[in-house]
Amino acid sequence: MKKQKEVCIHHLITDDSAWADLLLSKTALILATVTILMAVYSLAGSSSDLVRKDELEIITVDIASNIDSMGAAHSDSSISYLELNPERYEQQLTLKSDLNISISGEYVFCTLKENGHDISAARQLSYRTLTLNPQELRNILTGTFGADGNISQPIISVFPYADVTEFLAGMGTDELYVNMSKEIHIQRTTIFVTDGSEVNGLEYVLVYQ
Amino acid sequence: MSSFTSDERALLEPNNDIIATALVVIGFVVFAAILSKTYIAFNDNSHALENYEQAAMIVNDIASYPPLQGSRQELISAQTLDLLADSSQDPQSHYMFFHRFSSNLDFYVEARTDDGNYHWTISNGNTALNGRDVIAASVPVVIELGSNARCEPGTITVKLVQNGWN
Repeated sequence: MKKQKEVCIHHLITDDSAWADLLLSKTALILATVTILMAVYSLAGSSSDLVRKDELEIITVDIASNIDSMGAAHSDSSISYLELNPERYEQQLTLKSDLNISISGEYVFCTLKENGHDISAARQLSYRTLTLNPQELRNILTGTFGADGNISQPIISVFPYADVTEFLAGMGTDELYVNMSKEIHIQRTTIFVTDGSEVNGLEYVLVYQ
Repeated sequence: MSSFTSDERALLEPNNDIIATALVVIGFVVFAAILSKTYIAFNDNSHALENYEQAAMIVNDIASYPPLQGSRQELISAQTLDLLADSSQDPQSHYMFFHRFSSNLDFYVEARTDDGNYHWTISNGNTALNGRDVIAASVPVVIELGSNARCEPGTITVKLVQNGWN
């Protein structure tokens, strides 16, 4: 038995056909090839994620710029109302997937759920925005301040109208989760406030469905 | 040279494929690095462009802001600029000027005549830079100086102050 072992070791040492060398170098080659292929595959995967993120960003920027353009329209301008069709955004996507849009007073936020992970994009709004419809807003103002803020019925408040603006800033944190089958309405409105001597208009953009 | 070509000791021969693989790996790493650098540069530029568009929209809005208009619609009144530049003179107008914009948008407005004689800065006080990025957009305007209808060409610049995107 011992003799057989010695023969085996001796055979290994004297073998100069370099099979171990060959095996080692081929294994290294296979490992390196697998690593490169995995790297290429993950790079291709992440680039498709980037394309999806770009698509999502285009949608977010489009919604935000529509809301901002309404805020930038001055009271003497004829445009004071806009409608957006969210289904159009779903059709823009190259792959059919679950698109969620939410709008708050500060941001437009879009999310795509894909293969168990979320891709999202957000865009800051430039103008003061509320996610209420005009009637709701007037009702809330009447309920809180006893006046609906129209030119005929301005809200009485002391400059700098902190009670009104802080109340509305609180309302602005409510998010509107967009129902994809309904149109988004964007409208500019003015809430009139007075301190007894002067009437001022606080401008807001309303986004509702 | 002849000693190099006639050398038959085959020092590198058995490891030829490893050297070739190492070269491929290095090539791939360099390619990935260049690709990611290009993407980062593209992303930075597109962010900068987006922010510039926002600043451009605000400056166009301000240039056509009705209370800033002078005796004619296309003129900017220096008198109103004076009032807005000093918030203590007319706090109400100053407040209304900034109120329309979202409260988390930090910016200030500079107006100047092209000859450099007059300069106004309208700021709502929270525009300390603290290492943040500034994105500026300007529009040319005509500024009406005083009541004797003297007009000077000038520019209005909006400077958006934002946290860096890197």
